[in-house]
Amino acid sequence: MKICIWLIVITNFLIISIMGKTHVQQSETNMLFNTWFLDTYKIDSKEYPPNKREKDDYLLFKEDMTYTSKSEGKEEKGTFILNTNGAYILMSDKNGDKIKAYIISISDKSLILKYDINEIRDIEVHYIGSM
Amino acid sequence: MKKIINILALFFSSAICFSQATIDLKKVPFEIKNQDFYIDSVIDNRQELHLGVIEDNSGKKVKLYFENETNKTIKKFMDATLPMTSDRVPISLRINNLKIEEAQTSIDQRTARVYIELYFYSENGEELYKVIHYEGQIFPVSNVTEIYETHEQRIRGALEYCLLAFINEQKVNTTNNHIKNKNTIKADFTSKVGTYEAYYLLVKWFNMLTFKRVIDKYNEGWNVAYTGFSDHEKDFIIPFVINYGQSRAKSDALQELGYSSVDSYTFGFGFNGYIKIIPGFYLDLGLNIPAGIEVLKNLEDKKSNNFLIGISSNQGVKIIPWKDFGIVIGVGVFQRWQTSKVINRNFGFQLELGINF
Repeated sequence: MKICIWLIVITNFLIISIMGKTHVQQSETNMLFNTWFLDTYKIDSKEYPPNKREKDDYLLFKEDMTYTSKSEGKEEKGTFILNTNGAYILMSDKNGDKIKAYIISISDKSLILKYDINEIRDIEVHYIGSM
Repeated sequence: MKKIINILALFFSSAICFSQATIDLKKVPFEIKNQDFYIDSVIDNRQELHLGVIEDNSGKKVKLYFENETNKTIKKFMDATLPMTSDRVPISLRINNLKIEEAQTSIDQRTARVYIELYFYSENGEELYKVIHYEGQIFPVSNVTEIYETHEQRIRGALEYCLLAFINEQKVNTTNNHIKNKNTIKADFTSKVGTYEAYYLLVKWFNMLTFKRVIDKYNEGWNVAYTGFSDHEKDFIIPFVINYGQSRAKSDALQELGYSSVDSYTFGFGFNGYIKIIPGFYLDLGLNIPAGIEVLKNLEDKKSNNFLIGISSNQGVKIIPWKDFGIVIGVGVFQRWQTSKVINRNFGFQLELGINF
């Protein structure tokens, strides 16, 4: 009888853990659907503000898996995939050019990316969520 | 003699026998909206059963395997996201390739990647989709530990990419997702190739330290060089080269010109290019600007210096028999013009010996 109770407790614990984890993955996905305004660059623990031309730069990820980006005032649209296991976003613009950005961290208010581009690979790009 | 053969046999056998390490693939589910299929079975159709031979944390080469059988491991990973339910259609997977690779690909970077070739089949065995994908990531050259510890994540990333590619292809093919209707599955799915691309080797970065003996009609000298290049299969390879050389004029030629000795010290920089003829055999062409100083001593033992600058070209062959570590042999000819007070124009031979690592 005791063994049965223990088995039920352990099974419940495992189910709750798995469901909890699934929920975490899904909520992370939902968090991305937001407008993210460029806030700062971070290189070796030092923060640097964006330059004047980058003021109001943003990334908008929509639930239909399309995105709009504004970089140095220039707006671009395209589609993206979110690879949860690889921890990256792969953005494809209308010309088919792809940009991979690794998600360093994400929360409701903050998104930190590292772009897979040679010149800026070591730079953390910090965004602030609009919602 | 027998002892030497035994030692050599032991050396080479230890070099080609790798210890084994295992990867425990985490089952991290990811969100797929309107899930209407599940992975019924996974067939492992790879020729090599290991995942790759790569460097571990300590820089030692190890052969990687999954902790459990590959088909069961991948099935469990897929089940975490696409569990079987009665209203979903079964899909089978066949893995033709799944390789972990890593190599130094530039002077300061290492690339780690997972190469995957995955087929999707319907319940009746019809091929629905094929995807070939490289899940790559670039690291600073010193991040050996991080590279080793993230191979597992890149496998998961590659599997998720393939699944998302398959799902996206179905969305493109059908405005209404008919996958739910088992009877229409044959009509709705056409055999599609995802990102089909022949397998290409990870471009490897070569480091070489070489010593060159340089002989011409009037001078004898030597040159040491560091050369770094990424080994393309087709392109003209442009290596990064730094070299330093010294040469001394032969005394019999000097007497006629009024000098007892002439020494020159030059650094070389310029344009070099390799053309790969066959693996390990390269045609070496170069155009360099040697710059340095010429120290002259006349017959009265009076010293004077002369600034040297010039232009030189060279043609030769380079042999690099072993990719990872080994010897480099090179032979060639050169032509040179420089602001020397003794000999302005010259040509000669060079013999090169070094190591690659």
